[in-house]
Amino acid sequence: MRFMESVMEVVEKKVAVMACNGLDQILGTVARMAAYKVLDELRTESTVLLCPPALIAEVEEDAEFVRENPVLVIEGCKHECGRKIVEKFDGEIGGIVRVDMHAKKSGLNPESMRELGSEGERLAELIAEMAANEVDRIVGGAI
Amino acid sequence: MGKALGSVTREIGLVIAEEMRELDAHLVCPSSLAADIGDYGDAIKRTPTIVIDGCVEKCATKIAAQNGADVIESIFLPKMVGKYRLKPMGRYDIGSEGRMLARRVSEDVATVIKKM
Repeated sequence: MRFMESVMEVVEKKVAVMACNGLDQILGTVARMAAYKVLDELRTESTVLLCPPALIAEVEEDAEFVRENPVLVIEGCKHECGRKIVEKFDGEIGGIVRVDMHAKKSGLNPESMRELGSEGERLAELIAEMAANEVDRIVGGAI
Repeated sequence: MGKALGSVTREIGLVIAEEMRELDAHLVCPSSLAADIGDYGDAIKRTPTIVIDGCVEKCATKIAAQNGADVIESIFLPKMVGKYRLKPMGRYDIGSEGRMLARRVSEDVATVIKKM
């Protein structure tokens, strides 16, 4: 019975996805959109969405997500605000995807914070695919 | 982040910051504030603050209180949905009604700032 309970616990393990959601710069919007794509399209069954303001405001549901699941952080820039926030709440960082680094490599330039444009949308898709692969790696490591 | 109205609050902030520059209003990034990046912490203590909450959790209000902000106006967005009868489409794309709602509430915020 205990063995089956352990197996079920591992099978039900999810990854909490946190986008930095930065309002200071365009890549924060790319991080946000990428997180939505992971949750809503790419890895719907194996992820939960963390809301940075809710976690900061100590909303119980988000605090519980962080306590119970490894966190994949999608960061807009070098400041890594998402990681810092998760660590403040004693969360386990399972992985980090840095939008700024991949934006530079890809040469894709989002248009604005309110309207990413075609290059910004493509960048969000690329980041989402990388994040989805990270989710698989994190979940895979639990088994 | 989980809700469409959260995306609308973001849009409101960006409309004010990008299109209403004459108001000299500054957007506070909650994540940067919590991570102690930039001078948001000092800024909201010394500057009158308007909070916009997307849902009943009222996270913006809580974060403002945590940081000793001088809150002069609180906007509860679900109430604005009822007032203007405009509903956002979704969290990824708030749609035309969501953008219209953001515009109307931005104008309400502008009115508050101009009265100061």
